[in-house]
Amino acid sequence: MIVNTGSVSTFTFVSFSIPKFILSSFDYYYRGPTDILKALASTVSRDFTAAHYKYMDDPFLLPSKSVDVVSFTLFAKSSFRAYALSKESGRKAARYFLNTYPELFFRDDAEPKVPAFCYRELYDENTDNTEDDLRDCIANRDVPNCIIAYNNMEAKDVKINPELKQSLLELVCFYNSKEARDEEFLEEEWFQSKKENIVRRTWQDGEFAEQLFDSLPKKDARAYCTLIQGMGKYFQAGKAFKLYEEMKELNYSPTVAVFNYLIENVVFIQESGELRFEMITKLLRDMSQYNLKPNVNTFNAILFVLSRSTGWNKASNIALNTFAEMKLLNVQPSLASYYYLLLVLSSKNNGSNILYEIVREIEGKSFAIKHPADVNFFEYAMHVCCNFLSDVELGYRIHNLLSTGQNHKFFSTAYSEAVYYRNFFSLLCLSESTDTLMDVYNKYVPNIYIPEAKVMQQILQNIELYDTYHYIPQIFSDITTFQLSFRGDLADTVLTLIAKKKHQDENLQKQFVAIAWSLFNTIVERNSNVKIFPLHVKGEMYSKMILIFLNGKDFEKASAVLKYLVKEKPNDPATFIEGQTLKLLCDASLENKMMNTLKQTIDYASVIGCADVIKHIIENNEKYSLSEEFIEKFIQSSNLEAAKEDSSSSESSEPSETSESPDESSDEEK
Amino acid sequence: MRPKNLFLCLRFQTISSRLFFEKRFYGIQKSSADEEEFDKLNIMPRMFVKGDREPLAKREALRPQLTPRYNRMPVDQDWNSVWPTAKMFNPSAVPLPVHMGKLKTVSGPKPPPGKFANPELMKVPNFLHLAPPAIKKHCDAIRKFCTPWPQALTDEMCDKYFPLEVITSDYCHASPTIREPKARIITIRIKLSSLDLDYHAKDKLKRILQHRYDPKTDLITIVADKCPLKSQNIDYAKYLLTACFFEAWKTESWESEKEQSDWETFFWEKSPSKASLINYFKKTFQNFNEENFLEKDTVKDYSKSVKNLFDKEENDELLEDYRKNVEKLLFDERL
Amino acid sequence: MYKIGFTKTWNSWNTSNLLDGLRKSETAVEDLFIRKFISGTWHRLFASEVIIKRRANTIIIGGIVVRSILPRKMYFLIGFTEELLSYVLKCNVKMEIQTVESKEELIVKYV
Repeated sequence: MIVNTGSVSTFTFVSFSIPKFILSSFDYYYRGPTDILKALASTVSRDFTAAHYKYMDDPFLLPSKSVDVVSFTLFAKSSFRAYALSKESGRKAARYFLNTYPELFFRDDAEPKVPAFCYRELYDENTDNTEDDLRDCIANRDVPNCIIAYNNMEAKDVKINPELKQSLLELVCFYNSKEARDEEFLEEEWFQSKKENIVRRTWQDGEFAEQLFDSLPKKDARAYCTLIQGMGKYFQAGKAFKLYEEMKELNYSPTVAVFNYLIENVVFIQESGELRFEMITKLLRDMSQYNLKPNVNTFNAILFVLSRSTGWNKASNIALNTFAEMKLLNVQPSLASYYYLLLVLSSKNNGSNILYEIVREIEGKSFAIKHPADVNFFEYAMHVCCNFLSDVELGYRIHNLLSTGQNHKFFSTAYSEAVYYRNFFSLLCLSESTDTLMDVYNKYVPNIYIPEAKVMQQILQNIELYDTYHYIPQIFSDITTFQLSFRGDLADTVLTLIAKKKHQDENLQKQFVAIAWSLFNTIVERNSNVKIFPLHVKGEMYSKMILIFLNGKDFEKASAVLKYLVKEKPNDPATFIEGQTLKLLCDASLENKMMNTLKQTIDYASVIGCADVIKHIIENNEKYSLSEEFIEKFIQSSNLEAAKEDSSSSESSEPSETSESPDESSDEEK
Repeated sequence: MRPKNLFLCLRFQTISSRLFFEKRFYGIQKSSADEEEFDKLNIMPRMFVKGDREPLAKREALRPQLTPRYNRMPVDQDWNSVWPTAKMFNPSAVPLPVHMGKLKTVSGPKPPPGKFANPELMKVPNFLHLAPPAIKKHCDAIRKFCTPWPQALTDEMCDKYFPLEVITSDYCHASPTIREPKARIITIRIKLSSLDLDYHAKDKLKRILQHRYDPKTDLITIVADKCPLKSQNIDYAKYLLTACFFEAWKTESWESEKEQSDWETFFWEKSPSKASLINYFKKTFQNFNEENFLEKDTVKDYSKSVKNLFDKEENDELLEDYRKNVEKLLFDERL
Repeated sequence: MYKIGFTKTWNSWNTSNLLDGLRKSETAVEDLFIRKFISGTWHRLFASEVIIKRRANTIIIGGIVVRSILPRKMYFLIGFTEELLSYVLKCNVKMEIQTVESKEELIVKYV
């Protein structure tokens, strides 16, 4: 049967077209590959209870010692630094194995490949290099390999694209013909003990960059610009200016970056501020001839030169004029501009007031790094605020600015961060109440900042000023944790503070006794260990301890201190206790009927020559209703001439007999 | 020789350990004698002598430790910042009394061990980074990447303007490689009704597609896994669909040889049932007009029930229907 | 008697052990390698078993360590282990460790 239900002959394409109204309602939001991750990361704010994530989050492994520049004692090294550097040196050890035995690491299942985990080949004279090798090396910023590959290719007469040569020149000029720093290992730089603020010539004369430039058959404007920028970056001022002159003769037009570097290098050409400024003006005039518009770095360069010529009386005026010019041209200043401005002006009297205006201008803004000197701003601003202006309001404003957005990253080294916080805390200690101070303290200590001994001292002074003794136990436990107890005279300060008066709060007094006791135990422990440096503790400290124990009605501990002194340091004049304390101790031992201690005290008093202690006892004997006989025996046993004289002048005038056994008094007690 | 040596060595060790034992426990009594003795020879490695040394870290560092950091956490802190991503459990960072594990002792069950020094807690995946407020924050953060669904585009419009559906799969493994062979397999789906086909082409397409067409949902499903790459397979599947489509429109010469057994459905018009019916009525009625007859409702009803009997599953209802229609045709028909 | 998966969880967490997981054998051998490496590098330091978790191309090595060496040295070992294992396995390797004073702290019951 024939089935014929449709015609085959005609068929037309139906074109599917999406109506416009649907398409127009799509509102595309462009997003890059990492935008979602960034958006998710933006939900996370800084966690002040945790240390940086490079440290293992464990009480044992978290750093708890401060960044300190001057380190004399055994434990002064900052553990922040030690731990981060240890971790990095472990990583470097692993890198060493990779580079020494690359054949052990060839197994590679990763897809796509991770170049960071793979051995990077090192070329030598015998490798046959091609343009692609060179291109790869340049892309990887691998300067030594680039140089070897280029030399190999030159030796074998391999033709190299001039464009490639130009990018090679750019690379070696940028890195000064040296190996680029490995961005995998940055801890060492972060923990430099002092920020290396080098402004000196580091350009490698006659090295590969210059050789390459000389070998170029046709030196175009770009090549000149590149070399001048390289020389400018590493402050080879003389050659840079010579090249610039050559360039002018050849009628090549330089770029803005060239001028920026040349202006910076003026510092090395001229000595006085006036001549320097003259030269800058000349360069700026050249710049306008080439129809170039200055950018933020041009102004930064001018301010940099001015900040180095602060002796010149016009420097501050010109700096302000430069800023006005910047405003006029609508160039957004970077933090470095403010830093240099502050540097120029703060050298003058009252010049630091500009900081108020600066802060007003930039308050609430989040910055991105634009200039290498940007990272100096916060450290220096806080320094000016603390040491010149001492204005806590301004300090808070600067600190709020630091807390805005990602601004807290504007520190180049751990050292400068520590300096910033040190100044901030000093400022707070001077002008805030202890409660406010401790709020800030609890936020930043110990994960962001660990106070140095000096700052701790200031905090204690603040506590003394505001009579907020209840903070001392916390501060003391931090002092012990950060191992600052015996840095400077911190322990002495703590003891002085808590020995100052008898506190009504019994609980607090108990805690103070515990503090003094732990300090005493540490001293005993440290001094009994031969391997560790002994602690030299003054007698005042011992007497303060005794005082604290007596205030806390802990007689046993007080007598323990005395026993220790009698036993360990009988003849050390530095550790002699004050007579006043001994008197108190005598009173207490009489009160507690501890005749052993009383005797020991009096013995000790006689050794150190405190005659008035016995006098004191005798004077007060009625209070304790001591028998006359007892006093006699007592005086006899103490066997001191001075005491005798004193006693003879007072009521008892019997001649002394031969001294009895020293156990007499203890018998009496029984 | 070797075993003997080993034996000796072992004995030596036990002796030396006994020596140490004695020294430690009877040291006080023998102290006067000890002073006279030679320096002791430490045969046992130091680390095997129990109690001989205190922990190194304690001895050398004398380092007071920080308290676990949850002690310093404020009550109203932002938990999302403390625990931003997936991480192994950390007792010092979690301010909760968590217990994990199972303890069954002789004296009966005990509460599970606490959070400190508990490896079980470290092993299990936790969701501390996915607390509801954190998820809400994440959603708010990525909302700006989401485009609202165009209001004008309804489901029907989707079917109309975007009839072709391409289904691909991506796999996420914990491994150094992101490749997964199964990711190449793709599926395309399209409704048969959305293709521009006439009856013959539709029928032919169904025959070409065989099991790839589902009459219940009217969906054509083509799965492609021949090529190594996903995009290649998508192209291939689209090619297959196109090829089938154009093939369906063609009528080959051999298609005329279609017999009743090839019918996709019962054609009463061409069936012997019609022929015999016409035949019967021709014989019965003199003035039989075929065209008029076929227009009648009774005939149409009859043809429908015959068709149903052939196409559908046989049941009482259909048979009853058939009986009625036959009766109508035979007895009620007055021409 | 251990009841792994009931009263005690797995020490390795990865997708290879799931149905249709990839690289089953490779993962097992790599885990063995990691454990041997840890027991050699962190000699007598791990008090617990070595826990290996894998997420995408990150390997997280966890466990509980005895505080018998200085934290400084521990940081060196962390850096070394993370970096070297990354080179060997071509994955990001992270260590997440906790410390205890002595091994006894991990004992939960005496039989």
